[in-house]
Amino acid sequence: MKKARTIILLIIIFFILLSCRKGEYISSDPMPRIDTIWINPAEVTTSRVTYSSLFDKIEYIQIPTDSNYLIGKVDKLLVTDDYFFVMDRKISRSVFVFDRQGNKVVRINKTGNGPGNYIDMRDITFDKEKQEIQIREYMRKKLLYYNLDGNFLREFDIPYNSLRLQPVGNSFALCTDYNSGNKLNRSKKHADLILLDADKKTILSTANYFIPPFAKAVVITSEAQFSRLNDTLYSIKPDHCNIVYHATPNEIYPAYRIDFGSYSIDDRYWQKAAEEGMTYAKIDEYSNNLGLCESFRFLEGENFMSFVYKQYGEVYNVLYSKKTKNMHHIEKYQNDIDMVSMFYPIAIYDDKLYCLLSSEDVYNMREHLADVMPKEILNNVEEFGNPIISIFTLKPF
Amino acid sequence: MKKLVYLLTIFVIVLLGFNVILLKKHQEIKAQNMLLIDKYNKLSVRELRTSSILKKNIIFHHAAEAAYCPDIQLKKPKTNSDLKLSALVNNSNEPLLFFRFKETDCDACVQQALKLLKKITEQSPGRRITILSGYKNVRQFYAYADNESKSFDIYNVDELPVIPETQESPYFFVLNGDLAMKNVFVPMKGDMEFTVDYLECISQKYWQCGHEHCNHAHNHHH
Repeated sequence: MKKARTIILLIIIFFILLSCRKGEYISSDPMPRIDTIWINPAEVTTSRVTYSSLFDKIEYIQIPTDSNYLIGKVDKLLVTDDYFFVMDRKISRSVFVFDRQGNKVVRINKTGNGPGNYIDMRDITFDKEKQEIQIREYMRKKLLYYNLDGNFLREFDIPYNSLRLQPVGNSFALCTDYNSGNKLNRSKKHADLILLDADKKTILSTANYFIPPFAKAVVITSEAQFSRLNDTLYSIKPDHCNIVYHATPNEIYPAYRIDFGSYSIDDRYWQKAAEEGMTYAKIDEYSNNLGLCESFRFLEGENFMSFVYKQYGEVYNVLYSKKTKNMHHIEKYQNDIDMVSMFYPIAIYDDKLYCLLSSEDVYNMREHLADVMPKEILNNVEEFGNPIISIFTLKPF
Repeated sequence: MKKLVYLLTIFVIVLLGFNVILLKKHQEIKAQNMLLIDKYNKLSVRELRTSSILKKNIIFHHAAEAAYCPDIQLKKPKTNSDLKLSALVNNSNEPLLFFRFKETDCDACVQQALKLLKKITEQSPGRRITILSGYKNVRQFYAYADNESKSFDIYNVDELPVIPETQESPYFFVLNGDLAMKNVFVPMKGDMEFTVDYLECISQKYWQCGHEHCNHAHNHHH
């Protein structure tokens, strides 16, 4: 009798173990203390804030224009110690490289299907040690490597769909931009951020789980990018979420929360986005009706953060000091420095914010800018020339 | 008694094993059914989309042919000069096939169509297809033209006041000397079969002469 009971018990335990689901990846999700950045939308500075009160100076880098070096649209500006890299995805489909003085280095224009070619370029990064340019090819899930002469070196398969890809030490941090095609799900939510071991191609960490929207087009984003804090620490804040994540070679973890109180975006938004027949216009209307604050265009440096947020269809600017916890919370700017630069940062490096200035604007106003912009720039500007890089240095606050 | 217990135990094990097998089979069948449902839904969506695109094409075809294309100024690449649409069309000794896209149109749609057009120009090098891009920024137009001018004749016009412009996709049309829009066609993303058929028809209709003769006529004109 005893033996029979034992056998039956063992059988029951066996079937319990069998019923455990296979194949589900559970993230390790470390939970360090997370700093909160509180933002009260009612406390925005409504009067115009002058550039001179915020910025020490604006510097300019003029990019040469010639028929072989014509940038269509700047989809990403990557700044390093020695170079600028400009990615133009759709118009010239090229990567342009300049040195920090604005001199031409190389243009990579390799659209096509063959080896070393790309069809849909989505991200660029630079390996300082090996002096290699890396291009993320989206359709074929590859990373293509080139040297600074523009020669193709090799390619590397990345087994997951991702919009952005950032090498971090010996790992890759991927941002899928809310693509649920990777099937990395946990309780019907999918991972938006993935950390991959570069050698073994195994997942080390995942974060920012989301409910898949009805269609990808429902959740249009500004295509969040990684900001470099140091060689082994990068930051990213995907759109439609309030958490800033940091990526190291070993994990991706939440580092800051941007808290708008009752106006913070949360799972209600994602549940709505998942509803049958949902469209971008409807979810935008839903968001506006609730007054949800959606932060985007997030950049993080060693001491500052810069981002904007949208509420009720209006966009507001935030500059946040990590040291002092002070904040500039701004509705509108007034350019009292050079009258022509627009503060719309697209890159951050060494705590300076990088923006683009239209050559056409400078050309048309060059007579009025004689006292505020360098003569070199004004003398060499072309009406339809490449954009000028303008570098804003924040005053400490 | 012992025997009975053992027999019962074996019977229970067999029953449980049988249940597990049935459960797994049930899950497999369920998964297959879901796959079939999914395929059916996709097919239905595709059919709906196809019929809606075809309907749109018929509407634009008729609506556009009821109106003439205004004689607008086109921007030429690399120079800051303009050219009238009538001058461009009259300069050609045969009707011109235009591919029109705006910078806000679906990029994948534009690229798919351009890929097909490049095949045509590769197969018939004398055949020039005219791209009418819609960039608001002049530098962007120059950068685009610089990249594609080996394969096509490219001009830019910010806004083209014609009926097919109202839908947010690239489109083809044919123009001759009287600027009457003919053979308007809106390509369908992900289904290039219709576009291939359309381009074949255009080729047959307007470029019927043999390759050498067409090249000779083209060279003679220039």
